[in-house]
Amino acid sequence: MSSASLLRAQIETALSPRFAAGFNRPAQVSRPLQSTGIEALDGLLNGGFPIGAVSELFGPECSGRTSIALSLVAQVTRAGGAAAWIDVGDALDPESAAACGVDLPRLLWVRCSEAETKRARGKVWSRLDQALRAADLVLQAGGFGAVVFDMGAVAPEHALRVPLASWFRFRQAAERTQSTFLLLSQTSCAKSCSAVQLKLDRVRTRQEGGKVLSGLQFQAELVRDRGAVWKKPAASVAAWGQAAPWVSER
Amino acid sequence: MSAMVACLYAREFPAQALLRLRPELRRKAVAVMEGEAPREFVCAANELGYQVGVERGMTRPQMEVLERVEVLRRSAAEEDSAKAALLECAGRFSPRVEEVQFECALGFAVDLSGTEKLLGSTERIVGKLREQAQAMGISISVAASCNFHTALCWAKAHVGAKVIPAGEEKKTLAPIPVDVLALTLDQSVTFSLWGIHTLGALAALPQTELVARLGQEGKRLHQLARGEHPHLLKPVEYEFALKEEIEFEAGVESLDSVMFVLSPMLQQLAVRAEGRALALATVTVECGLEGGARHARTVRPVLPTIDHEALLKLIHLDLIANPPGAAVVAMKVSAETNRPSRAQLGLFSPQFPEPMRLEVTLARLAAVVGSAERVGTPELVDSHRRDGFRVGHFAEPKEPTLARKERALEWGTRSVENIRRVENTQRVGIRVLRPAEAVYVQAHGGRPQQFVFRSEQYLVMECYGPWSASGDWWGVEKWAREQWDVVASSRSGRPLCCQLSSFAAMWAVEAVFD
Repeated sequence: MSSASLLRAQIETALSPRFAAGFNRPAQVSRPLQSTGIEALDGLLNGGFPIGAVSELFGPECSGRTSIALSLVAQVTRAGGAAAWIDVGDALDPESAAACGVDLPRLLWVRCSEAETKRARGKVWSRLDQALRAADLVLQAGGFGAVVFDMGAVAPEHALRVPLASWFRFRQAAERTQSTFLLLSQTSCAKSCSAVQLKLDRVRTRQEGGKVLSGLQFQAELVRDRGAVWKKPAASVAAWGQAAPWVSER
Repeated sequence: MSAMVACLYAREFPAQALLRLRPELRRKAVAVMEGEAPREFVCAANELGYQVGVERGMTRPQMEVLERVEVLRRSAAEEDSAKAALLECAGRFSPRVEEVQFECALGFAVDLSGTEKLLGSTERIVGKLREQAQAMGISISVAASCNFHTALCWAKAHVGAKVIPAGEEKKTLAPIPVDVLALTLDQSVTFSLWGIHTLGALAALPQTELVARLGQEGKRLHQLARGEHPHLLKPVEYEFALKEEIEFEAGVESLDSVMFVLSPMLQQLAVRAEGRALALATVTVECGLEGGARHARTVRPVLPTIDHEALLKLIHLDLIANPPGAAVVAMKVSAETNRPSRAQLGLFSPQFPEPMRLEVTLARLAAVVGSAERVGTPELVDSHRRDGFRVGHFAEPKEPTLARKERALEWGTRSVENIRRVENTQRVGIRVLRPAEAVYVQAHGGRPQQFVFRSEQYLVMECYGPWSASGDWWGVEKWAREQWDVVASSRSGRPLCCQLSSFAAMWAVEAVFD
């Protein structure tokens, strides 16, 4: 044992009767993973998004956040599980979701409304408030394999106003209900509450003979992966292509 | 084997019927009055009421002298509900139940002959009868005997439960006061003059001498006192209907107060349904409003349930969305039953929310986002129109999963590798802008060249289209548009892949690829 380790062990032994909690290192949890269905991304994440944790996808519009989320939801619903999509901006396209392979009867879609809903005691909830409340209810109900919190259209200045306590609460609830909580935003909001952070920022097009848009190329950078604390990831960037909904398979 | 009859006796029934749905008053002194003002008089009270000085027949001015006594009006509707509940309770032990009429009490005789093998010993049945009536909110005395009148006399005279063995009727009845026989005034005076105060003393009189002085009525009373008077049970036929009614002393405006009263009513219905191994499939709440109007709401949980708390929450959320609009003066709750839902879960069955909890969550979500139409599962409709979908109710589908369906359909026509490749084909997601955002577009030869979107200028790098679409031209909702798939870049280098649509020289961004 090195002298530093020995010294540390001596200090811990001396102080542990007085500060027991300070030296109880939390057990390293190996979380099960939910595959995204995108091979390159699963490779980057060592198998997929962690189940029972908050994962964050952030980047500007057209960077592929919705495609990844739909792909994940498709994996969950095709396996017979339920998924919830909490849509702050009411932007989900069911046709596109069906084209991505989502089993629509197993998808709960919560569309936050523009009209502010009046609550008891004169309290008024905006779209973002509605979504936060809805996420609480969905997570508390349990039984959802994936919960997507879609703030993709919310400006960063508004998204950053969500208190950190909310994300902490969602993290706890996701852990308790073993649900994959996926947060889509333009900037990183959940901070330390997220187990995985993926930054998406580049897009390229694929075309067929210059006549039809046949697909898009996306690229993701792994900013944080708490599951890989003790091992260095093989790569931090992944790129992949996704076909347009109208392109037939060959 | 001799017939065994159990007699249930609910004393002060008008008060018990009212307190059954008002548990908050059970720890207070309560008196029940009947009759038209100003000739109202007390017809019943609870034990605490008698302790503070309430007596039967007291008038309204006499009652006003007493402090801390809650005065309620006698309600025939609530007594009917309580009677049905108690009859239901008795009916669980035997199909042969006779109702015994009293002025301010309620009695039932239950024929227990032949039930021992099915339900256990008579002591056990008598104990259960009392417990189940207590669960209904009614306190009763129960006595079982081979002689109907013996059981009834004991139940009228005592509080509790007892099984009187065959042959011990006379001995058991001996210490009971003679007033329990519902004597006429003349008979009561006569017995008082004779110094007869108990049934034992009456039974000891010589029957011939008694008949000589009181006639055949004397013989009947003598047989009753000895526990020998015969009785032919006349069973009642009743219909199983789950209904509870309550009338308020004054109009109630607060919804929370209404829910407070509704809670024990739902609980009673759930207990009664559970007693028949049934569950509540629909619950209808009918509120009588000030001014004579009525407001009825029906809640249908996704699965029949006896979880009265979940039902209460569903009704609460429904009444928040559809308030009565005036003060509530009466409330009637009725329910329809069905077999309770049962699910056989497999060891490896997929995760899905628990149905009843999901139902409550959906109702809460609808309250949060303001409309039930904004919460549910998207269902595609057969149309090329943008947003061609409707939102349906979210519940666990009975059908197999999409993957299984596809496999079943395609197995015969394609190879396994092909199916896996199709499943693994990744598609681009689309975000729809609702409503579409109008943009200013500079076009050349009908093709967009550059446009201004959200105060930023974009130069079109790639443009595919136009893709023409139209529909519903035969109706008033006809639509047509030309759509372009555009890849653009802003001056700051921000990329944008979107769907531009044009109609009548108006351009708009309908969706973005994301």
